[in-house]
Amino acid sequence: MSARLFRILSAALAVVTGLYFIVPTMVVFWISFTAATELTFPIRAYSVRWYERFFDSTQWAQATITSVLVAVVATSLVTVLGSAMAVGLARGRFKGKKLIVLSVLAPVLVPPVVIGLGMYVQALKLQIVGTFSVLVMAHAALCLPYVVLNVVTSLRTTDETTELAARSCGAHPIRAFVSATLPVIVPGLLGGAVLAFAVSWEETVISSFLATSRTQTLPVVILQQTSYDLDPTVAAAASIVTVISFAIAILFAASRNLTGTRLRKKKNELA
Amino acid sequence: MKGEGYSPWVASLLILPALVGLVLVFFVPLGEMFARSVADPANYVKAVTSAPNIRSFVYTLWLVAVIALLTVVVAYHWAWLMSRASGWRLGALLFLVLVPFWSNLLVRVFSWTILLRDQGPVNNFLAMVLGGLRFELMGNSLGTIIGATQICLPFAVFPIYTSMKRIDRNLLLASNSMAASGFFFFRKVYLPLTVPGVVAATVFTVVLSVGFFITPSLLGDPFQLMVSQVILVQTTEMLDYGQASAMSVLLLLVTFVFLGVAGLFFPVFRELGLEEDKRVR
Amino acid sequence: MSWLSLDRLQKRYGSIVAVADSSMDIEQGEFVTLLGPSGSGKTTTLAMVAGFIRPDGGRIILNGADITSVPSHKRSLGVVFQNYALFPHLSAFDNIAYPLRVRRLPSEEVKRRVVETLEMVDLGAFANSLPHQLSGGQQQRVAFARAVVYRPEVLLMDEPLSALDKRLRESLQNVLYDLARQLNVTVLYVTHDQEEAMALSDRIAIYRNGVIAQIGTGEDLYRRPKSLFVARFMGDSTILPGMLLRNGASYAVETAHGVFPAGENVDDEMCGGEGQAVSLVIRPESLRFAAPADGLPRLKGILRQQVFLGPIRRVSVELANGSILSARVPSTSQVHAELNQPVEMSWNPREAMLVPHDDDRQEDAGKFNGDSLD
Repeated sequence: MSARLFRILSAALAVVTGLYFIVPTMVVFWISFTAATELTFPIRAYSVRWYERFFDSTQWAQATITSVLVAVVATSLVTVLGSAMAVGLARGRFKGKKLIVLSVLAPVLVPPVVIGLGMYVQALKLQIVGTFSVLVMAHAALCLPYVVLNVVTSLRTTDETTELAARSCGAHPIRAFVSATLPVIVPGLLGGAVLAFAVSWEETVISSFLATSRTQTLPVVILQQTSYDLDPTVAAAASIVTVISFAIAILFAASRNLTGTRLRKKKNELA
Repeated sequence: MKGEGYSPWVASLLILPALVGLVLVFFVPLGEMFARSVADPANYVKAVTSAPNIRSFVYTLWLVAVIALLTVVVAYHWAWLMSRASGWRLGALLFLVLVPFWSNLLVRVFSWTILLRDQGPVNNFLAMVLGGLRFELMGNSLGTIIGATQICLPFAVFPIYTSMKRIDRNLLLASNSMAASGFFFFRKVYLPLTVPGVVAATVFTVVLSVGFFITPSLLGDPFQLMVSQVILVQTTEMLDYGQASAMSVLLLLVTFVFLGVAGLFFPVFRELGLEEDKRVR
Repeated sequence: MSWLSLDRLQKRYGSIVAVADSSMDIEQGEFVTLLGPSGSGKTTTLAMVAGFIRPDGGRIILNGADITSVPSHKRSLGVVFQNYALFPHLSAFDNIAYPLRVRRLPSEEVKRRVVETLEMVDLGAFANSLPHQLSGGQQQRVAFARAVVYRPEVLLMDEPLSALDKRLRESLQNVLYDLARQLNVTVLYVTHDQEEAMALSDRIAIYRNGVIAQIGTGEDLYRRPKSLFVARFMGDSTILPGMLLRNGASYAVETAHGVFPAGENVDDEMCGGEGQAVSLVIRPESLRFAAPADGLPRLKGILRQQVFLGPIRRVSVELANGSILSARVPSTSQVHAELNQPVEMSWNPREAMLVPHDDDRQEDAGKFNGDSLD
């Protein structure tokens, strides 16, 4: 195959792939502004009525509040516990670390339906289906791996020696940790928290298993509505969900770059 | 100088809260599910011998294989583009692959239902180009494949990209100076070096797609269900928790076998820095 | 009684012995270097004195008190690390002030002491700089300042200069030497560079496979090594293995190249008496091109290499059995020899040294390489 033909094919594939990446997300934005009562292309008239509908509806409002609350509580819980676990794993002296890491990774590896089924039946037994707490706990379990992994990898790049230095300066081990290690893992911690929030925000399947009409998250309502037909308010809701997801993404990128580029720039100045 | 790390007591204090929570919320329900499934061996018998179940397992594995193949090929191409790009081009490529990553899965699948309809924009475009020819793009395996591949792609691109970035540029120059053709170099040097990334990408894709539920529900064949859909049906319509549990356990088994095999190729623990670590200063 | 005493310290990691027996007595104000190849136990010993690692056996006694079980933040020590270990988010001033603030000194006092210490390491102008804004040498000086600002009883340094380039290393060696003596602090210094050890220390302890092979001044170790390992570690040498012979009151060594007088540091106890396997060790600066009839012992071989290095010429001679003799001849020497021609080298027998024969390839086996976290 000649080099030129290869380049043309590659470019064509790149364009198609690029569209493939973007279109599904952008379509929702676009179609949420339709004036028609059905979700079809092409759009003949534009309107914002579906957004008005969204903000007016109690069901959507409740779902939004539930989503936000669950995400905030689950994220806070998981950031604290997960960071502590990460520190214990990275700095602790004991056997069985591999087993613990595997366990922490499990929520990511097990298919959501299986998790949902298990939790649902268990919740039935304990009669806590549809409660706010069970939703938070489920989300926390799902988000934990992301915090732990993020903080563990950021701890990996730091050296224990700074903490040892602090101790040799007379600082009690806890103070030494706070002085030397904590400032360095803050970016990883924030990154993990942001990721955890994103995971909770988007979680659909398990939340569907555990929801009742009073504790539905946004994705759960969207899922329901897509199974019936198809009030474009759903598109408005989906767009809003996506906008928030992107805001989270920007936060994540910012937290990553925060210390990274600043230090790198300074080093380049010196070199 | 190295220290000795925190004592097991301190480590326990740090790790146990999260671990206990995880066990209670995650592992206990799964354990109960397992117990339930083995309480009545008929569950497994039914799960393994009933024709619809067997069909759905086979169908799922076949579908996952197709998705994985498609995903890895496309991801490989995109990752290759990224590895050779810089500046704004790299930024654009990165942005494009991250858009689906950060968008809600449900939202995207929902979009596909609008796009892939008989009278939807994709078919309209194809009809225009191919003189009136329309295809059935959803409600069948193709729909699932289209939706699932898009979901798995971002997860596949990054490991491949990482392994490509690790390849020394000088290898290509050295190869050229030895008058090797581009394709020869690719086959003998480049491709083998990217194998770890490809393996990781395949693992991510398989683990993800084997559990897909929303995608086949909205885009797939309503008469040929994937295992996760079967499990849901057994739970909500047939109320046969025992069998649903057995199917779940089998699905998990398949996932873990696959992970175990892949784990031989990919040193997860080393990457996480939780093994013996000789860091270069 | 000595100021700092290490009494049979031991450390094992599973089946690997990192330190088998680390014992020494150090006087107050002494500068002692722990020298040895990597994995020999010197760093582990230092870490035990610092309190970062708990010994499996033995004691550490400082000024009469047993501090073996005292946690490291309660030992009054200063530690300087190879990678500086400065707090990256704190300025030089705040880094140095840290130990004082931890001890809750009033801020006036803190300021005074930090400024004084900054002057001592010649970094007064950089008080507000962050570590990443400073060069390697400057960072190490900050690290040093931080370690000494509260006048610790003992200063521990773990290869502090090995991350720096050669010229910087030499100039910082001088700084360290002067400051250590100015502060009159007891120093334990770890390095694998024997020249650095000799430049800085009052005494040197050479580690090998977890034990101290020999301890003494630099000159002691260089001129009177007690083992082949120490002889080789302290500098280049020409080694002639052979058998010890006794000739009345004097000793000789029968080697593959002939019989030679045994040198000065012989005694029965060390070499085990007549018939023992020994090695004759000759330093490169002791060898000269032989002058005819000078009455000195000589070795014959083929000249393989002659390199002019400024003050000296480095000479390599291949001996009859294939082994290489290395010599350093003053470049002002008038003798000239041609490459690949036969040549004779001689030495003053009083400058030769005798050590027991030793299969020192052992040092590769059982080396401690680092600990597993599991």
